[in-house]
Amino acid sequence: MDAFFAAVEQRDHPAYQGKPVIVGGLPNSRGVVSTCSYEARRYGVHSAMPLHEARSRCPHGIFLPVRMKKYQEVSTEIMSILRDYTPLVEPLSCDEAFMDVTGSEMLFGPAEKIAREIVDRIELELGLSASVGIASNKFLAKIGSDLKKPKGFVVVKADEARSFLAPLPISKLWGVGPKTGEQLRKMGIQTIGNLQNLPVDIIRSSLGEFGERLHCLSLGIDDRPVSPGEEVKSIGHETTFQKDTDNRDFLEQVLLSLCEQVARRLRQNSLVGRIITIKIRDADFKTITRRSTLYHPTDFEEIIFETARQLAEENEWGRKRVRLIGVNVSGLQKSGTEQPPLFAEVERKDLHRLHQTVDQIRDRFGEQAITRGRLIKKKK
Amino acid sequence: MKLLCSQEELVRSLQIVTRVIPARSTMPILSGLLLETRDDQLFCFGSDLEVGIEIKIPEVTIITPGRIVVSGRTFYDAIRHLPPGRIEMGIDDGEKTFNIKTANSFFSLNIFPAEEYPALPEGIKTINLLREDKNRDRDALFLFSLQAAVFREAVKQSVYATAPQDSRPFLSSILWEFDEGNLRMVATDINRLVIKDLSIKCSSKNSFLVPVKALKEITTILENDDEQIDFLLVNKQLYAVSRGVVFYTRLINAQFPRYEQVIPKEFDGQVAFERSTFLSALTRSSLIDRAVKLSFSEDNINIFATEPDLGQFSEKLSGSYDGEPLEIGFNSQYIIDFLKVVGDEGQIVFNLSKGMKASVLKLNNNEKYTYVIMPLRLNY
Repeated sequence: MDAFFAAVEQRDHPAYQGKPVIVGGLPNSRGVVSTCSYEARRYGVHSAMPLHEARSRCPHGIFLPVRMKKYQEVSTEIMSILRDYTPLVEPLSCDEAFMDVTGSEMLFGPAEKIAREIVDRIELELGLSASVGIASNKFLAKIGSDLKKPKGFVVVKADEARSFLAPLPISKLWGVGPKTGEQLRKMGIQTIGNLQNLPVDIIRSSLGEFGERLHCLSLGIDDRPVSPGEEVKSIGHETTFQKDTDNRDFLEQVLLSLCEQVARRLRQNSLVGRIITIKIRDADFKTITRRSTLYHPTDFEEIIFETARQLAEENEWGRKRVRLIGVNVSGLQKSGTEQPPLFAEVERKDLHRLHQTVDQIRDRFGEQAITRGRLIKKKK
Repeated sequence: MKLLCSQEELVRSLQIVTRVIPARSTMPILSGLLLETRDDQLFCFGSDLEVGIEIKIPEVTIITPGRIVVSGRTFYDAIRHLPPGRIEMGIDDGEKTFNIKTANSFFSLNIFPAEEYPALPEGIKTINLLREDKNRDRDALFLFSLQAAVFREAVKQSVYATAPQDSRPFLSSILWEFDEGNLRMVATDINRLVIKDLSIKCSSKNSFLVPVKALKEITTILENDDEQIDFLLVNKQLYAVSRGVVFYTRLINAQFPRYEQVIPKEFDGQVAFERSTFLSALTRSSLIDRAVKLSFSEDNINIFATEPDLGQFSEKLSGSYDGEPLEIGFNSQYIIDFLKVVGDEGQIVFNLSKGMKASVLKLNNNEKYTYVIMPLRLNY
């Protein structure tokens, strides 16, 4: 998707169209730019840039908070369009996915036709723009889709792969970050083409097996399959505070709210988990994580919170002012597969019903429609 | 305070008492041991306020009486590292250090202010008075006696079915119910239930919850299988008294679920096994998955386990089955736990229920040990 979060905001708020939109938070807050519209990119704003810097580059920009829930919804809609054409859809993030349409061409026509149809549907049905890369493997398709954003449509034919990649900078290769990039540049390798022409032995001797893999990629060889349904291994939420704090009441409230969100996502995915992990980062950026394993897997925020709170207490909430706090549940299994209890009265049917009801209210009226008294924000 | 004692005896006693002193506590003095002379005897006391031990140290000659608190860990380590033989210990009037002397070594340990140590629980004093005066009426406090070996086995046969880490008190403790002639220990982790009956001589009738941690402690401090343990109840604390040792634990104030209701009375099938054959078959099956499917028909008993990532296991078992053909899933670990704590006397009888109802494992000809387990929902 092109500038996904910003595009959703512009779509939902017509007044923002054609204007620099920066999603990430208020300009004086401590976060970073999550996504910005193409209008904002002209001012040199890019994602992961601290918000205050974005503001100095683009003072008249429209700064908006991240509405993850909304983007998730749109993401689900996009993915469901993709799944109309093949079950082999591998989401890479909420706004990117690989599709293997090998078997679908018989039904829907060639890949190019399928892609055109998908882009048109996303524009027509969702009012958003997408870019496409079509190639014989994941690596080439991804490079292709990034090449001509926005509204890019790049087809890389198998016999053109080498020449297509040759002029691109080496940093476009998967796995080449600043460190490897530096190492390669020292060897005189600036472009993917430079690497293509290097004997594989040389790259292997300096980068080992990893070098060999890079060499393959540089030639456009990538045989990883498109694998749908990446299994969820853990579900977590964390938050960075506007100001470091050691107010225990406030920390507990935030923790409870995080646990609620985690529990809700567990239930949305029909999962229960046994391992509760907390993460506390203090003002000096020292981070501790502590975990506790439950005897019975759960999707109850009450149990997750109580366990997380105890872990935090045992570690004195990091002993300093807290910058970030997070909670994570892992050791997941499908709910309903856990051992049924002997005692019906301990099943906490009351809480279970409460969660179901609250979930239904939220599904229908939004996350903010109902909350705990403890989490109501006091009016200033 | 000044006294002479034997290194070997002191080490043995300290090894027991130091078990209960907390490593970390909001009350630092609890990391100390209270040494107190009474009637020409030396007593050593340690506690974390939930459980506590007082031990009479043998082979001590008191020269001058006294009462001090010394760091438990340091004291124990110091004594442990001294050579066997006679030790002279004491504190001079008005001094702040506790001196430990052997022929060539000399420790001088810092002490805690003894007056700040929490008061000894009422029961310790009462029990000491009872000991001195055999004529005193102890019936009001005395519950019953058990032989150490019998008690140890009962604890072993019940604690495995609890969930000591769980925050719900009835899962981290064992219910004791007794009246004339019988002590019943009931343990559960929600999915399974143990009922263990012991013959006792008892004139009172009562029931309470004893923490699992305390029960495990009692079994580790008993040295001799032939020892007799007297149980007393003073001020809502349970005391276990054997030759030189008084152990106490607070009792848990919580409801235990109505367990009688979950013990099934009627079954759909019954099978008898040899313990070791069943145990080794289940151990093999647990290599594939903890879930196991047991199939029973008149002439066929089968164990089956499957795990998509690993493979499958099946085994035909010898045993006699009586009932309608059944297929039931179980957590094999639950059955293994039971088979591991019962002796090889006679056969194992497995009373089976169809549907999602509990089944019961028993020893043949033994009504005093009952194990109730819930089945596992299987999708194969």
